[in-house]
Amino acid sequence: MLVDLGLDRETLLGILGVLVAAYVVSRVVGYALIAVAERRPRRRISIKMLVPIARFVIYGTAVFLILGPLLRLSTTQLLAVSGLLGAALGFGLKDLFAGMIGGLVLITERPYQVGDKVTIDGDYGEVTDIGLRATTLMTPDDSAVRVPNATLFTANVSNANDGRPEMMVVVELAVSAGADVDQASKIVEEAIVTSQYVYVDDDHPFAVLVEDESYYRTIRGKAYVADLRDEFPFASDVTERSMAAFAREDIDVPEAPVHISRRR
Amino acid sequence: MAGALGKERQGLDVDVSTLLGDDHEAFDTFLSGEVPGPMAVVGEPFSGRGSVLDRAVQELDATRISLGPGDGFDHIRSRIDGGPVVIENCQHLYDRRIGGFEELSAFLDDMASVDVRVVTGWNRYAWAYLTAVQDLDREFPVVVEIQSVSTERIAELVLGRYDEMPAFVADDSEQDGLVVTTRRDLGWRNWSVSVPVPVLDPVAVKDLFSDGNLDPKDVTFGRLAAVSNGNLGVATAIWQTRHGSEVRPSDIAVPASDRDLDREEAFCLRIVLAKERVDREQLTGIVDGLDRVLGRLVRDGLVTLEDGIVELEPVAVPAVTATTERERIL
Repeated sequence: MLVDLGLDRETLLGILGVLVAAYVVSRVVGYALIAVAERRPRRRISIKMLVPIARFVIYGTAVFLILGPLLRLSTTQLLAVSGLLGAALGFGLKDLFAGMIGGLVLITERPYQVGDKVTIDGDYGEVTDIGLRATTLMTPDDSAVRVPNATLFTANVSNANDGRPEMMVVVELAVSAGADVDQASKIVEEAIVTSQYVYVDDDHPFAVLVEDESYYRTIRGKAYVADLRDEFPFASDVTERSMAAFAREDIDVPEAPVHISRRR
Repeated sequence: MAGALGKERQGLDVDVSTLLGDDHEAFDTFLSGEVPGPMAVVGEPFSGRGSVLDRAVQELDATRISLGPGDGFDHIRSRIDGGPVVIENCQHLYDRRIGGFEELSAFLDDMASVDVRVVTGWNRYAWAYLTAVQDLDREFPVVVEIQSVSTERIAELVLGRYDEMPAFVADDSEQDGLVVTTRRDLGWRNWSVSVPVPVLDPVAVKDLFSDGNLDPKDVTFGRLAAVSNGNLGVATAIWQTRHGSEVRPSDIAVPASDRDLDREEAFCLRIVLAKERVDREQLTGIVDGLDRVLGRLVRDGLVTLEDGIVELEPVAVPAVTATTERERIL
């Protein structure tokens, strides 16, 4: 069939060579960019953002090089290829095609970038790869979730850091209704500002809020970490040291769930 | 070391105007009593805060209080007698732990109520941290900072410590070439390999574009000023590590760890950088695996541990600063 379309062995080998070269170049460029990004924490996400762009450019160039000979097809051959492509897109590849269009939208609109912490359609994690068809998230329990790029058109996307390395982390602790809430708040505040992960400046303030619940009070500490990868170590550090200080100061803690949430 | 370069005189005869630069006027204005205090003198470790505070003691005829690891507000309160007071190393008034700001808070409360002229000295990194988390700068109407010292002044002050001048020799660019080779570890998953990486030698490149007419002394002290970030104490310490009677620009280098420091080591270094000297016990409970962390940092030549006191090595200040800034530790 392919020989009938005018694709001789040399052309096929050329196409194969271009695809292999594109794959190798894309891997090398991706590896180099990630290596550079990891050595520059302040620019990490900006540099990693270039990975999918470079990949699109490399594969786009490869497609152009491959389709070059095909553009010189005869009318009969063109009709045959068009019919094949149309049928494939219509029946089997429409999701793939939608994913690729979603990938292009990701590149132009940038609702998230490689390195961001996002929630897409209920899945939360760090964006580790934006491919032609799908985005890969690494969840907190180290599972890789591949989300089709087309999901972008139908689902809400929550981005915790929006391209910046800093990220706000909210730590919630509960104390009994009769506990000294001022002292407890001071402990949580000092646990936050003495943490090795905290990042504070005029643009990244911290705060401690108290909320009165029915049978206990919630102390909510909000602060930024310098590197969003420190989200859980920071929350754990603050919680652990606050709880230890509560115990030292005889501050009662109710049997209430303590959870961590993320905010921008 | 020093003997090879001639007999070393003691101390650096550095004037306060050199250290304070544009802030010198604000410093003099405060000492003359024209503006109310208290005043904070902020500077890098070993950058010469002591010289500035010496001047304040002389001008105000003040009581000088020098704080050390573990000293609290009681150490100050017992020595305030109603006259002017100069308090050195105020970074020892806090600990980076829950409940570690009480001494500082008591000190600031007392300063707000007493009617005496107070001059305080602060480590720059401790000041930045406390300003971010405790709004420390709001309590000090006058803040002066130790500035970077120029290359010429560093050369003058460093060489002024010796009776004999060393011989300055240009690096042999023909021998070394424009490119020097360093080794870098490249890794992929569990596999890594050390590969030679060619990089341009800045001194050789500069020499190339200047037709080789640069004075080796200027190049040497230019490099010394650059690696020490204009910190006179650090520049002096780096200079003292040189051996022999000949000095080449390439002899000026900052010692740094050959390995990547982990987060706990970097955090420990940040605390030591901010405090300059810290009681080992104060780090217990703050730094996980303290014994091993300190052991590695001592082996790397970044800190010393003697009689339970962890102390920052002056020559290591540039490396420690770069490491902790890269990790973005507050």
